[in-house]
Amino acid sequence: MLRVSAKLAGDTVDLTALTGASDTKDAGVKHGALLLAFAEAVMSRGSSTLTMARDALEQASSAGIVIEAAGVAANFQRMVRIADATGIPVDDMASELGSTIREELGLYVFEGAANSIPRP
Amino acid sequence: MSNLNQALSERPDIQIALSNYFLFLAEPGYWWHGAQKVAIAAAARAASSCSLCAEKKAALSRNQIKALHAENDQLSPLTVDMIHQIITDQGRITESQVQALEQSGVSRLAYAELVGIVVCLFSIDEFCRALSQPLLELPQPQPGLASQRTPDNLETNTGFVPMIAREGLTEAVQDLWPEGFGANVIRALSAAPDLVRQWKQLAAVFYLPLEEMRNLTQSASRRLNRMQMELIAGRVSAINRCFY
Repeated sequence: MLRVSAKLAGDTVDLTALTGASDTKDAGVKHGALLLAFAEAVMSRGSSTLTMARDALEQASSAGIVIEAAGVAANFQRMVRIADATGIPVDDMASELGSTIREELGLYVFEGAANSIPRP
Repeated sequence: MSNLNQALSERPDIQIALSNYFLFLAEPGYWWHGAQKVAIAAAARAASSCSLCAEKKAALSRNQIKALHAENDQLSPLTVDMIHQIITDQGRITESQVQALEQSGVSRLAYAELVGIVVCLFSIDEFCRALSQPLLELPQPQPGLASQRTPDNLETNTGFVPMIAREGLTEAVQDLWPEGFGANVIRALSAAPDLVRQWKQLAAVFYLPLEEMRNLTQSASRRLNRMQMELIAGRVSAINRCFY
């Protein structure tokens, strides 16, 4: 979705930012570094880290953006758990784009891959 | 009032969705009555600070840690263990665990409903935590029995739980997903249709309504553009080791 939305916007995005391995801190996205820092702070559960990341994002953008960013993070905390707890496979493993991205980002080492790729 | 609280007050849609979920949580469900649903939510809330979960998460194999979570008056230790794992170590949930739960008396239909209750509560709590807002108080359960209703056209060939076939929506559940939009993650909880409705309602306010997900540029109702949303989504998913 990130790659497609970037393409539609005429931008280039560094997908390795998703795994924390990006050289470009903002990943090619407006406020990208702050959004990534906020997402990581939410996941870290460290209250001071979270406060700093949230304040920095708010100062650079707006409180409304922070609310939305919190919502997106909360939403995807739910989605991964639905997928893994119910063992659903990826809908279209044959998609070339999806396959390339999974390879690029090294997602095949994730435990949940077993639900899409049967063990031998 | 802080800027964040002001901004939050300008999103009544979020407040409504959260309130609706807590009203729903208190009511008898399909396989769990109201007190059990609230107990499931309480167990989900306790998982993040559970020391046994931290120990199990750190172990090379969860089976190395033989201790079980304490039972409570509504839920068995095995059920509490699964609820906690959905929160703290979801990537290592296997079908054999779901099978063991089934053998202990929690059917796969009941498990699907339990997953939905857990993940919706967790999502709401995470939103509150992200904004350093107090967690919302769990509701008082409403009396009544679980309905034991199941939707038509369930299939069992995808994942660990029964789910409505992609093209199997009947009139009673035709609102669950638009035609041609039955991705597995939407269908996953469809054995308990109200849980799909709840997660859709939460997704609509936290992220985007299902109908808008095909708009990959800028939603008129959001300040974040889609790239920014997907950057957050992707990073949270990667930290969670989400393959899906």
